[in-house]
Amino acid sequence: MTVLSKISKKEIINELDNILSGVSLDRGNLLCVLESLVGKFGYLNDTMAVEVGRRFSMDPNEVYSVASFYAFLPVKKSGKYKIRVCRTISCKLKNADGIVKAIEEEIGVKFGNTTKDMRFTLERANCLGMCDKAPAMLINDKVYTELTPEKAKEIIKSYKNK
Amino acid sequence: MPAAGFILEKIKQGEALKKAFEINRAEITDIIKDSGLKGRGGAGFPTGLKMYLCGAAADTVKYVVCNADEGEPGTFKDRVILETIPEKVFEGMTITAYVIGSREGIVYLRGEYAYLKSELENVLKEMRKNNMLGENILGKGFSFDIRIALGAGAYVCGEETALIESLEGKRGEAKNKPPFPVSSGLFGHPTLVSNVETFCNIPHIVDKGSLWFKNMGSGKSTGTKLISVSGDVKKPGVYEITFGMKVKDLLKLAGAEETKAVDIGGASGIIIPELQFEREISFEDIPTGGSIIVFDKTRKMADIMENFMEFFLDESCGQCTPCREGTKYFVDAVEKIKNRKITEQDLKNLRDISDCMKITSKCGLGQASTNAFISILDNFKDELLS
Repeated sequence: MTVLSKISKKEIINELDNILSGVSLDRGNLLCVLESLVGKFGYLNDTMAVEVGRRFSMDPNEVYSVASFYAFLPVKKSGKYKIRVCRTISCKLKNADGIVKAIEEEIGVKFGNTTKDMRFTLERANCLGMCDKAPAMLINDKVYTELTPEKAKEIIKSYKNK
Repeated sequence: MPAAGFILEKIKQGEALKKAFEINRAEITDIIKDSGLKGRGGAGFPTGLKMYLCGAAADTVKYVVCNADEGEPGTFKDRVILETIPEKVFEGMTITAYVIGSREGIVYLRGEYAYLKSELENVLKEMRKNNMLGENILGKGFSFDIRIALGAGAYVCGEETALIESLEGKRGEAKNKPPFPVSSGLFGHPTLVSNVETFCNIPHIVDKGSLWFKNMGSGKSTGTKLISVSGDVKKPGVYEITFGMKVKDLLKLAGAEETKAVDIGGASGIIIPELQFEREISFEDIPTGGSIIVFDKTRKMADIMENFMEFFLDESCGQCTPCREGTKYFVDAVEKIKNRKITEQDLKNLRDISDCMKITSKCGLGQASTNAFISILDNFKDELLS
């Protein structure tokens, strides 16, 4: 995945061809295709909704409607790395707020926002199922547990040059 | 504790499946029915009955779906199962498929557990190689395969009709029941949806019989339960208990000290004070999908309420009014409590609204969303009003 300020239609079409080479155009595969696009580009935009709709014989609005339902299918511009800090009670008891604060310091934007270079988006997530190793966060698909503010900062640093 | 712990132990793969192939389908359904096994995801529907209903449905296409959308706050036992003994889950699904006559199984894995997907697919590949999945399994003429579908971060998709919508490539909005999935589920075909842990029990019951299973537990709660313990304890983790264990005994095992309150069942569960730690974890007393969160004496109940109500406000899908508006109303109420502006009349109104949400919300999310709030109100009212 690359950091892209603007995604061209050609890139989207190429990627979609790529994804669909091994996938049939059944509606049941829609989520999996949208997940792959998010994996590649970091979020879904209008062109993607139109192109996916064309392939699946769906109205682009319906594609958008489905995507917008799911927290992990962002429909607005979002960073290459999505940092999702668990906000639910077991993590909260173990200083999840302190983790968010440390990350905000490290990337220079507040929770809910994306860095100017489109590298990081900081979000809160509901229970990640890591309560025995709280506090926890996800960076894209990777999970980090038993965090301390210092540890969280170190992890973020390691993503700055990726 | 787990005198009878077996769920997380490895088994000789394929043994139970071989045994199942030697028994006729109706007999396996009877064994599961007789064992008293109930769904381990929280709702506790009798698994044998589900098998019977789905098996009896007349259709050439049927699905077996494993609900691995473990999203209830404080629950992580399905993650541990999938990390340690996924092959047992798949074998349980295969036996189930054989019984009901299904050729396709799907594991709906929550998006938060995406990192487990490739390893699970490796296990499936290995099982295909050993002819435990795929065409003509173990040469017995039965064909079945399993694929993994990834969710995308929506708690409500743990509700079975919402999960099915999501598998169909739609918004994960719950549907009215009936029809139930066992008669009309995925793409309109009969579908048996069960929790990860439930499928894990099936190979054991087929192998050792229903009597062995019934001998564990208490009353109508047979077998064991995996409990995820977190919060203010020295030893957080997954504990396998036999049903009927007292809350206080579990607290002791997990190394809880100076405990003020215990949440049983996550955000949609209940919160009990010390006086009730004698109560039992079972379908008859306090049922749970497996979440126990412990709070020590330094914790404020209003903070817990706030966290849970914000959770529901965030996760409510918004399609039905009682849940969409009700969760917002309760978030506002917590703020009032925290600002010491709540009145007795407010609390009375909240109870009425909670009752209304319970009756009129479309799915379990809205129906259960005020449980924690109301139980805190019942048990810690003085603290809230002080």
